[in-house]
Amino acid sequence: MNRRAFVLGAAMVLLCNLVAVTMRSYAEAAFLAAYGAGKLPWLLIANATGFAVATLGYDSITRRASSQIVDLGLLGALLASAAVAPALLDAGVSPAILVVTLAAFSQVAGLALWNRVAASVAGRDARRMLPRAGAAVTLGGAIAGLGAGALVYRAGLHVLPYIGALVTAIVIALCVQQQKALAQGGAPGAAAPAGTSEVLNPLQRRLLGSLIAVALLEGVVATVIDLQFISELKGRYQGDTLAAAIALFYGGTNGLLFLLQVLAVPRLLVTRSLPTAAGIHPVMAVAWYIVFATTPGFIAIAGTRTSDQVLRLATSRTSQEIELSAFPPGPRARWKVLLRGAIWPLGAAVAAGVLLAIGPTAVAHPTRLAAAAVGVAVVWWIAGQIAARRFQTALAAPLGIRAHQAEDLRTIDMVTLERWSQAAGGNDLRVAGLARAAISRARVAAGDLADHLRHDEPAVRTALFDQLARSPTPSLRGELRASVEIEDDDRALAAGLKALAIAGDDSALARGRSRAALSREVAEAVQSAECTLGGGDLTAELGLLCARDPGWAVALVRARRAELTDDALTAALTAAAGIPARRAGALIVIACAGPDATRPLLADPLELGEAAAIDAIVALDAIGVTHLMAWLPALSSLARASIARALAGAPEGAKLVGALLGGDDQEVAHAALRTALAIARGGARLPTAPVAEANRASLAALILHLDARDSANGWSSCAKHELDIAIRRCVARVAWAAAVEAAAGGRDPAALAAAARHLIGGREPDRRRALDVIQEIQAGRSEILAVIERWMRPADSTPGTPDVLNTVDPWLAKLCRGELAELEPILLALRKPALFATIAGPALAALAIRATCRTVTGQLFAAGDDGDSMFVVTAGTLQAQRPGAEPRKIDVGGVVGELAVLTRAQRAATVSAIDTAEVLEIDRETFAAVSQRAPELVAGLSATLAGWLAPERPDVLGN
Amino acid sequence: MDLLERARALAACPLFADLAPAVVIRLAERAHPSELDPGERKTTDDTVWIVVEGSLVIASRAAMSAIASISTTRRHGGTATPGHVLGLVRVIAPQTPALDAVAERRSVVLGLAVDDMRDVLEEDPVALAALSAALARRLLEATE
Repeated sequence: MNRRAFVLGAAMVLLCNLVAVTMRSYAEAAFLAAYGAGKLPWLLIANATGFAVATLGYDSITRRASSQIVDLGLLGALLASAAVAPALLDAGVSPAILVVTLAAFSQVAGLALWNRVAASVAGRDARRMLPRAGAAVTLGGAIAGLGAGALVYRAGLHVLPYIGALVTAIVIALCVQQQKALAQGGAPGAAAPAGTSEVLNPLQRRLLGSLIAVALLEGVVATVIDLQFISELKGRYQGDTLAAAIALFYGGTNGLLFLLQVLAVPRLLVTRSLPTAAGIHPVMAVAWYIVFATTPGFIAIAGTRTSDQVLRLATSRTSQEIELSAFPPGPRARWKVLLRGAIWPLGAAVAAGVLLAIGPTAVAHPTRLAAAAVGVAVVWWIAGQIAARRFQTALAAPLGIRAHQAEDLRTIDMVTLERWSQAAGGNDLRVAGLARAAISRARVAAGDLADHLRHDEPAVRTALFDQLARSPTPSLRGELRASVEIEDDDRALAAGLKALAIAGDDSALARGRSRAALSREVAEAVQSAECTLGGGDLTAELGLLCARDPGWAVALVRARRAELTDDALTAALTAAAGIPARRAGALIVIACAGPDATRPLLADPLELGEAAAIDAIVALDAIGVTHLMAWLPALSSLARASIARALAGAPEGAKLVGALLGGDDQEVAHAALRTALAIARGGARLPTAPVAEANRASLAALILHLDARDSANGWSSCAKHELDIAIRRCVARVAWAAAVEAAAGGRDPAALAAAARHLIGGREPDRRRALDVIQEIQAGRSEILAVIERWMRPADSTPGTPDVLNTVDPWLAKLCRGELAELEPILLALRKPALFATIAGPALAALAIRATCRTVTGQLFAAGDDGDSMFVVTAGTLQAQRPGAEPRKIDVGGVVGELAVLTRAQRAATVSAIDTAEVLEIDRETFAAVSQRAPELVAGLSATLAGWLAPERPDVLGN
Repeated sequence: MDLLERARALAACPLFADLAPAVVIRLAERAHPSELDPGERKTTDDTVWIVVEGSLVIASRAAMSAIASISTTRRHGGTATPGHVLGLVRVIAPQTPALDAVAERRSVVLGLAVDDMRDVLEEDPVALAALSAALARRLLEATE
């Protein structure tokens, strides 16, 4: 925010409102004295119309001339009209003209000056500071009201315009100074970035439509309240007493408003979503009118009017201000003036016109009028909620965040289930896998399968038998037995035998044996079933099943675990894991049911990111999840992080991810939260306790990192940079944890995930907008917003120790203490390429340790050479020469040879040092190992490759 | 198209061939199909398009006028057929120019919001690795 411009602006609007209230008190008292209360509707119409005409005139002129000059001219006109008002009144000029002129000038001036205050703040600063500027306005009103009330008693009504003129002169001086301050730079987002369209897009137009409706309806309700209140007031007071009563009322109302704007509204706006804030005013209008309907009288209508006046400025105007922030700056300023100065008065004028047409009956039946106003207020509330929702959509849209209505897969019909089952039992293994995943996602109840076990299509029966093998269902045992007994398709029969054997049922074995001679598939199934049920060579069969059907191998181990010693099972699984064809299956068995001694067989390849080990995690069933959970404390951080990432593809991963969420290890927590988000987006419910713990831990970690940032004065630049990256990762985790929690509450977490991405990687305006979006989505979690805001503010570092990081980020604590000084130059060099810019510090350190420093003089490699490593330039310059192309220089931070890391292609260019250059060599194995730990590395490499492709090639990828 | 049909359409793309079935299903949940009449246009501003049926002619936004016909588009770009993915590079490199794609004949495409695609790539290292490999292959083809 531009603090000087804001302070000057606040002073300016304070004094401007002081003028407005003073002049309004003077003019309304003069009007009532001249015409009496019977002409009140005319006063309301004239005021509203005058305000609207003046606003439209202001809008028209500012579209042709500089708003700075127009504003000064407007203030000059206000000063002149105030100064001559008493003389004009004495000269016989109609008080009605005077009222309209003074009210119109002072109100339009207030709007114009308010835009200048708003230009000095943006984002959540605006939510926090604009209510305070509003408090300044209110304070002006309170001073004017209370002061004018006292002044009228002492010096008479005629002194008020002269005071108004004097204060207006001060406002003009402040306006000039504030303009100078704004010229030094407004608030971020207050000015449109170059190239930004000033034309409203369809989402913004829809929002504008709602805002117009809200302003019209608010004007209608306000007019009805005004009429009833002033009628009651006129019935009680006369003459100067009436003027003093009006002034005192304004003073008291503004005093109350002031307290709200200073104490409550800023907090409300930065902790609650907009639909809440925007709904308060209409709800209170309805509530007060209900009070008035039950106990009609001056107190009730005075309360209604006070509530309306206070909340209009405290919540409705500030909500409107925030909603308009979704517009580009030009339309924002213009529509702010038009909504308040033309649309709202139009609503007021229409209401006054209707009241005038009804005549005295309207005032004579206050409860009927109140009932009508309540009806309008309800519509107003609905329109307000629609506007607030449209604001949320318009706010998020530029960040690419869209509302998404997820399909409810649990509602699939039987025909779809049948079709999917058919695909699941088909010959195309890829499609069968997809179909099984779809059925698993749909969480079809076992009872729904019963009708299909004797389906005409063998593929459907096969799929259903297979599903019952994976999820034994005792209630369907009889139906399954009967179906397998009459099964005539060999493949389906084999699947049925498996399902029954896993369920411990041998009733179909005879049927299987009778077909075994005719079908190898059935023969194998019979042999495995016999073994599962207690016969045959257990370890030999286990080896065979590891290759043929790992799921059955797991079931076999579980069925006969009591007969197998740990040593025997360990030996069998170790042997199987050593045979390539059986290795993947063996790792699945180990993950689901292996004895403790086999743990390293899984843990080691997990640390290396071996595909078979990852697949073993993906294949975990519910029992396997429980088994692996017991191993987690004994696994290394790398293995646990690897498990956490692999669970993104595991249908049963929710519980295990929950177990990984709560630990202190930052890498594991990071990976687990990202996966938890993936699982939550799929509609699976994560256990609430670990999610809550992850929320707490991620927030605590961010706070500790920010505390460290505040002590970072004197630390090395490498340490500060790594701290900055670690903080960004903490911010992402906080947002992801909030997203997972949102999913647990039944909301789509995708918007929070996208907001997190913009928060840590976007430009400054996008980051601020992302924070606004998070507030709107994640209302009620003010501690999250406060900490993220703390991160976005520049640190005010003092010298200190990094000891606060000892528990949450020990590697970073060591770096900040200077204990890794020898690594710092390499870390700094590696951070320069975008490729390594965002990966976690410990992963980069692992890369730095394994990278080789080389001095290059002459050629590094030649086009056509075989290559298996990439190079990061840390000093000097390289030159790449592609056959038939212009030479390209690669300076410090540049990367060459990255294609060789992904492919075994020959070098595409000859690369040489210009004079001498220093490079870090990273071979394929090192890159692969570290990228298992830091998938961002692969993302960075993809982005680098895309950068090579993008300028010349259309963005089309295919065969 | 139901979920499985969308998943099968996605899995038919070589780019997604290495993804675990559960990941393809997750993508399919977010994908929305569109039937395009000849001449109908899609852009990759904030959506990745997967061609399921038919064919689309493509061009970089910079190379096209505001109103493009199939013939002018064809002059600037190639043709996307089933299995092709439009706009995926833009997901990981947002500075990549957006494309316009105009249906050459009656076509079916699956749309995936860029943010949804990014989420899946961030969540699944295998998906990311598959994309990197595809990009590398593409780059090698381009340099041959």
